[in-house]
Amino acid sequence: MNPLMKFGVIMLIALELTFIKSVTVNLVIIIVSALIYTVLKLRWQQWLWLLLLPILPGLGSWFSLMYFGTGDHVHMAWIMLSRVFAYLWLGGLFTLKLNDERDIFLATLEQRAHLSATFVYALVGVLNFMPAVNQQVKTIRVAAQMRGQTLHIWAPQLYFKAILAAIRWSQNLAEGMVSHGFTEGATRTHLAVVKIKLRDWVIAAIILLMFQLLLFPGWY
Amino acid sequence: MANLVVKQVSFAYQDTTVLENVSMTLRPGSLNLLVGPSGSGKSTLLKLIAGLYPTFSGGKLTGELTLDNYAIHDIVPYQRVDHIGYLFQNPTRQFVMKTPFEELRFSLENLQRSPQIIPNLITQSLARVGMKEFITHDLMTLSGGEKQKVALAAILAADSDYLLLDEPFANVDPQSRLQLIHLIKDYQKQGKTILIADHDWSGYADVIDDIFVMSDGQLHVANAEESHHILSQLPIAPEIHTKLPAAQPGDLDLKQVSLSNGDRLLLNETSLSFPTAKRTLITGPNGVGKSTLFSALVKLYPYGGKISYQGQDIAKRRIAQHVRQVALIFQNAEQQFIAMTMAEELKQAQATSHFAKQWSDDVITSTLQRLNLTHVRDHIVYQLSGGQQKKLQVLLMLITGTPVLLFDEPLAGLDAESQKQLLDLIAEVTDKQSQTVIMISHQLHAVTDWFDYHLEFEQQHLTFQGDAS
Amino acid sequence: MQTVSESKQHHWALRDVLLLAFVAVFIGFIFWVLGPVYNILAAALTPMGLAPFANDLLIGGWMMAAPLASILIRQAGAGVLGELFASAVEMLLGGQWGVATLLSGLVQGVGSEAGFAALAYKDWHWRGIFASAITGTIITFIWSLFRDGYASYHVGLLVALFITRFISLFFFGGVLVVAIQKLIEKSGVLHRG
Repeated sequence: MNPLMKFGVIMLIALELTFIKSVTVNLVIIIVSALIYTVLKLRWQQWLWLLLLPILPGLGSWFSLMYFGTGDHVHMAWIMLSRVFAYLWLGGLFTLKLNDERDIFLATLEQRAHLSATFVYALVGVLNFMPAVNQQVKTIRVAAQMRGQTLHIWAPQLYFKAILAAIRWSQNLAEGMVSHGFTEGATRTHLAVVKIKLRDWVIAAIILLMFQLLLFPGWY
Repeated sequence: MANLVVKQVSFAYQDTTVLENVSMTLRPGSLNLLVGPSGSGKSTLLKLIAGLYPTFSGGKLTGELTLDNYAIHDIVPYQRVDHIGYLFQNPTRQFVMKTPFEELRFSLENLQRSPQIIPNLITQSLARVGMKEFITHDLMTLSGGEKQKVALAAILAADSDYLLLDEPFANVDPQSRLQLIHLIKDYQKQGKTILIADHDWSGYADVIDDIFVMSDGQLHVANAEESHHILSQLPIAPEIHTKLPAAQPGDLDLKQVSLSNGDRLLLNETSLSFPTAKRTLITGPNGVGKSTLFSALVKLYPYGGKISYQGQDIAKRRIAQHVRQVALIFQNAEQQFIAMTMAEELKQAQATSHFAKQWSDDVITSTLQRLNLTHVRDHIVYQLSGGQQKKLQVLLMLITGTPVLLFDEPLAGLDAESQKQLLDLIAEVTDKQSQTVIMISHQLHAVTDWFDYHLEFEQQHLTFQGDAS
Repeated sequence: MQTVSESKQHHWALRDVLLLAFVAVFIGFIFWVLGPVYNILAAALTPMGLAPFANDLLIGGWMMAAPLASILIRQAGAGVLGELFASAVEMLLGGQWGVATLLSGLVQGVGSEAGFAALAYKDWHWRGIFASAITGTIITFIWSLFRDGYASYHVGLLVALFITRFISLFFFGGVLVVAIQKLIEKSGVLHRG
């Protein structure tokens, strides 16, 4: 399935989950995701990540609803616990595959969703800079420590230095892009033309329809 | 070939004149050199011709700067690049994509090349610059020379009529430099016109057609005599007079230390001690890993082996505590500032100085005078000139008085007088405060007798040079 | 040859979009460092049932990209985009909420930007910034009523959470952003034109 289509379907379901109060629906999402993951053959680290990451926020909500909830709060506590898992397991279907599917995802954004190339390539460029940004944040803090000053998270100077780097780097990258012929609003050719297959649309429609059916009769 | 006109061009930026009445005629198919001290306006001129300025700089441009009678900066980039290619000094922050293949694809798609020819153009261009095996490598892990070759491949693929290069070899190792020069000469043979801003023309002096000399924003063509004079002034590395250090351990000590960038090994299991309270120079080809070594010494870059300070493994030291003992004077001065005005910076440095008593207000005032900084004392540090920023940065770190100071190219871009001012000050202060100075520098003429010891960083090893003591 | 001045002018300049994206990534990383702090705080508060306070105490920080983008770019939509970029980064770094992060990012961006919009996108200084902190608190809180199950809490806890969230946004999204803006303006590093 085209990653952008997949992303759309996942986002729609995630949005609906926010308003659906049902442990069963959450569990169905988790189980279906788990089935897909077994087909995808995850590494054990990825399974561990899926299992461990939601525990803290899930339990956090669970405990507070048990202690401080009103009305049907015990039910709500279980909903929240299962919802956090559902969000992450559902989202993982997109994010865990993103490394392999990134290019085609972005190409679909540009070619099929007609998002302006300025946004697409700003996103691409900046994503490629993520390791450098991480290093720069470290450097900013260490540079201040050399001067005997610790830049805490609440220090405006920390953000000022980060924004200063952002200003300089965005300038450089903009010059780089333009020197490679990038023109705002101009037509570009595409080495790989992305087409969304009819099959993808059908599958997406079926998934969404089935999900709605799950909600409709209220049998849970 | 499109007709490029540079006639009576002036450019002012924030009320400061950068270029004044500059005219330039590039003969078709020629290779031209642009020389002049740093800060004289070479980069600005190149970026104006490339159409990047004034769009990306702001400022006021007057005069005639046209390509086939169109104002260059106004031509849409995808058409402009067909005619004018531009190679940045440091391509690192200019690549958009992750791999050479993607970067060239991005460029050729921008230029609206047909998808049928793009794959071939990419492989051919990368093959021409000898980077075909790196086609899917991560650009970030390539060496400076390799990056520059990829950047050049993008221009070859675009087949621009004019090629502008702004100190293109500044981060390039000597071997890659020769390869790049060869490629550029080849490109010229195809009838392309080339303009290089550089200060070291060894390897291509014989093919230079015209030399343009820039000074204080004004440009003239060198006549035969002047050309001969300029070309004869090759920056030959002078001899550095140092002795071998006695084999006693210093405070900062490396044991079997290795460094790498991606899968490229920079330093291979090297052990040595930096002599305490002495001045040590580190030289070596561009891109060999000198700056990376400094980053590792302040715990900003991972390394293998053991680095210790006063017998303590620095891996086990808290970074805040460590960098109060071993500090780096960054190549980019802005990195070091934490306040807004020069006066505020100085106050902060006094307050956190290891030698607060020595740095009274009077001492600071007289030091500023020595460095010609008095008149900008209340200026915003981010608005100082590059040279002023560098002098202030060094002064701040001298006041701070960290026991070990790592200087990364502190003299680059400074005029001879400023270099001397700074070296005198560093020597005087660090002697008084018994600091260890370790410096990376290419500006060797200024320092032939300044250092106690000299380390050569070459072929993944650091070796002390000099006569036995 | 075609010229830029004859082509259609674009609302979103390349440099602005890049700046916005970089600011979002920087903020993402600065608060990524706080991840462990959040986890410890949340873990410590969990047995007492007070874990939501960890979230509400730090939310202002995660939302800083929005007001910063607004004051830097000064354009409608900047806040929403900035926060969307920031949440995309958080998601890619492996945030605990998976894709829901993006939805929250959208809500947070809209919430923050609503303040500037309420002032007709005319005030990009402290009035706009504090207005964005207020609308940001209200709109994200409504979102939490649904997403985080806040609707089922006692009124007392809700009030306490609301106040906590407002304080967080008031500080990170208000006081701090105003201070940062002062530094940027004083330094003169951002010339618009």
